[in-house]
Amino acid sequence: MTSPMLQINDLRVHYRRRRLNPFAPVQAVHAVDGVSLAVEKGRTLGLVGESGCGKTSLARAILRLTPITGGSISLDGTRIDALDGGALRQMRRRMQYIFQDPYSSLNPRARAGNIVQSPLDVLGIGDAGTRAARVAELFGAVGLRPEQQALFPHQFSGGQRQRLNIARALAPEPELIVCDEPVSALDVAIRSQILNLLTRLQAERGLTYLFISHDLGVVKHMADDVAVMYLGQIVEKASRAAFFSRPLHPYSRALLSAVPSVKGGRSVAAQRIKLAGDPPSPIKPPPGCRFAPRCPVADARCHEEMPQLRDTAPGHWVRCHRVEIENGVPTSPLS
Amino acid sequence: MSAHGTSPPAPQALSPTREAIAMFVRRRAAIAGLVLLALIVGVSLIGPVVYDADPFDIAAAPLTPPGTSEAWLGSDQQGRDVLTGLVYGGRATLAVGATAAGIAVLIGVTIGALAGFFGGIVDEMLMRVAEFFQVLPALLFAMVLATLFSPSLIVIALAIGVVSWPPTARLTRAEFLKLRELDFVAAERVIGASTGRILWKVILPNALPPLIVSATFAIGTAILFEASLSFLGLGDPNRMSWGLMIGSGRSYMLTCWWAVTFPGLMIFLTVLAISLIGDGLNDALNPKLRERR
Amino acid sequence: MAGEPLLSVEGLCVEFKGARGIARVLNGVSLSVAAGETLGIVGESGSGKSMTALAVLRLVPDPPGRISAGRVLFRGEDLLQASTPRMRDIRGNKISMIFQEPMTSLNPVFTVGAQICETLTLHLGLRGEAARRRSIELLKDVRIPAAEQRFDEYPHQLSGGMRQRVMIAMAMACEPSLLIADEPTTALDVTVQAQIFDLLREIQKARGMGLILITHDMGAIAEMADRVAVMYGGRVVEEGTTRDVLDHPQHPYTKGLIACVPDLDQEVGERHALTEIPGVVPSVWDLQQGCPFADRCDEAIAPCRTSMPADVVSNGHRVACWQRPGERA
Repeated sequence: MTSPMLQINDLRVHYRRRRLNPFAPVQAVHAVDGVSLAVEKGRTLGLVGESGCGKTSLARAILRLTPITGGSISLDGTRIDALDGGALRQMRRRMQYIFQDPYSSLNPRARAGNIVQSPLDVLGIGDAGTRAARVAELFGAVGLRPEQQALFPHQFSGGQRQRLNIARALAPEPELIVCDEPVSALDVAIRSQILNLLTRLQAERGLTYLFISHDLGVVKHMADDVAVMYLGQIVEKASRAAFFSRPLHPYSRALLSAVPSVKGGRSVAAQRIKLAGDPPSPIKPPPGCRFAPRCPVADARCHEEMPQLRDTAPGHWVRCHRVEIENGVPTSPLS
Repeated sequence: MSAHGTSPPAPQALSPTREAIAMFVRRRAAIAGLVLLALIVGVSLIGPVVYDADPFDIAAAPLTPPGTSEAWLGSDQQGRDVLTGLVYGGRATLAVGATAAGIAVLIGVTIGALAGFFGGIVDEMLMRVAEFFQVLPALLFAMVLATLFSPSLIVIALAIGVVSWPPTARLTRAEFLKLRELDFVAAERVIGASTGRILWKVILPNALPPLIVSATFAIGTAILFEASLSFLGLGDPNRMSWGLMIGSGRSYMLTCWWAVTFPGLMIFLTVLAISLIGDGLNDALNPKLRERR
Repeated sequence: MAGEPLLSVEGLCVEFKGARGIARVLNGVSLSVAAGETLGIVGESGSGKSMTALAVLRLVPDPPGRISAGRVLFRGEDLLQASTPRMRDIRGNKISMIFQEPMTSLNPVFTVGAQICETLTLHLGLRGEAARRRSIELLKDVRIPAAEQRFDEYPHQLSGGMRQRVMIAMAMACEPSLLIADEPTTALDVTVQAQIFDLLREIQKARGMGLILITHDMGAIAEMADRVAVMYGGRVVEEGTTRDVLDHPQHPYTKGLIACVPDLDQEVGERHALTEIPGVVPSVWDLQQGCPFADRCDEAIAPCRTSMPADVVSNGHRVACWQRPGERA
């Protein structure tokens, strides 16, 4: 069996909260709390969750931008959670990041060509000639014209800036790219251009994507596998087909039904699974199931005992007490 | 594929710096300030070369009023020519102002950058140091320094620089704190950039606009500072400066107004010119104003 | 049609002066909304959808902007001719507006309650205990739990969804007959968006209020709007009942906008590339005569680049496109 491109085991990222009162007890924000995931080579794992669920903390931890509290991260079989210095720098060749905000993620004082070339300069890849050629090739690959290399970021539109971001990420020829909401800051008509570009680049270059989004439509289009995150934990993970044809966790079902659909309109909206309130605070997560306070089908056990992530069908994992398995077929408590 | 034909509005690559210059040139007051400052600096630099005289020499009868042929702008109580003093005194004043501001900016930017970027304990400690210098009565401290060491220009510039860096440090720290959170800084970390590169090559250029403005105003402040020290008799007594002229003429102010008014006017004009330039730079470098093309 | 519209906008034009000359940000926008009806305005950034809302309330920044032509009839009264005090009375009192980012629309240094009370004092003259009681009622109306406690909290203590509820409560303070909601849920999560939509629908039903919902999301339009206007380049390119426009889009831009969004309803089968609308929204400074969409349109023909097509209306479905010369008539 080949090892996956990215393997995360029981990853935890806790932030310490700043205290105004030095005698108050230390509070930790459990941004990522025991996440295990695997992304197979050449595939796309779609990670879905709402704001504050910890998906960006997870992404930043994988890229080693955020200190890790516990757990392990392996890239193509090599542990990277303890690397530092030169070894970490070399590992950065192999994994890159595409940011959500195409406006703040490009240095306003650098020219577009230099931005795309910067990973080559910093990581010492190639010489002046090969770097220039590589930048030219990348501009072409993401659909920008060569003369645009001399421009500054503010002279590009949002979609073009995101193309620059993609070109920069591709420069060191990474194997894994973490895409953190790469299209949510863009206009609808531009989103499809960028999504198609990402799909094409993956096919051409055999890239592995961890694709983070709050937009289920986008995830359904992009992902091969899906993981749903709620309050720092994975609550469901499955293949795309399994997830979208039979979502099991009540939260997944609520999330899916909350998306307004062009075809459904009002009739679908009327049958929506309604969730009350907002997600609870990641500082003091509820003792039982973290979704229980908002769950329409939670019972006493859900409020007391934290459910474990269990496989209900081959490859379909759910963190819910209420999912029943009859004759090998799991059924969601909400339907 | 489609998506290629997306043409940017302006094909020329106008750098942010070039754009700021274009913006600056459009401000009349700033240009006036620039011309005035160029004139003052030009006279102070070239004047002593062309016009050979000793500003400490007795050139006319003491207290000669302005308008006579031997002393156009009059002479002071010791018979020294005021005009010669103005021409020769500019060098010291400007040199001290620029050097002191340079020292203040150098210390301020370094400390502010490190505090803002690293945060935590480094920030706490550096900011306590800055606070120490900020609560120190600056003039008094500079006076002590100037008295302890023989008052040469460099000592005076140092004394002024050492007491006036905290505001620059605070401004730099605030900029670095804001910028280090932006994604393009995280992007540098993703590609494995060193801390040095991130600090000085990525964040600093983006933090420069407000720092340039503050440095400009720092020169003005330093010039006033130098004048105050000289006025109090703590300047270099062997170098003519506008502050020294005011200081030595102050007891005769009522009978001999010209001996203090003209150097005072020069200081006023210099600081005004610098302020006008500073305001112009502020407008030109302020991205919010620039976006309103 | 059924009765006189509550608000009708006719031939509205807004111009902006800049270093590169004068730009037409709105170019002959005509719309109407009746009491109890929801009009959706959909478009990308720069299409003029937010500017339309600002122009209706006469809030276009002037200078550099200027309303150069058109009429805005609110119950038959032309707001463009109204005096400044009259306009102030109408804003907030008769027509209210809520914005995309509820954090920046609320003042961070005052409590939520103080800000609602201020609105009540300003428009209704309510003070003290009366204002407090009414504010708490309003907070309860927008389904804020523990309204009495929330009254004394600051905006940063509330979640995004709660803040947007507070904004809606403030907008409802004077029981306006028209509410303009500019991307009210774009900054919110989908589960919270669903709650806000429910709330808006409920309030509208209870009060028979007109609602203009500005959004970029066709799904939101499908769910909320009775009629929809699609804007592009400062013009309304298509308008009609929501079902009609979504099921039978006429304008190539509308078709593209619907097709380019990944469809969650689609069967989990083979995936194919998404429809793309090539290029970007043109800058208002670069708009030529002719159809603003011509450069990105794969159906464009010669007249598209030279003159703007006139509106063709059939069965209440209006479209401005040279390729649709009354084919449905």
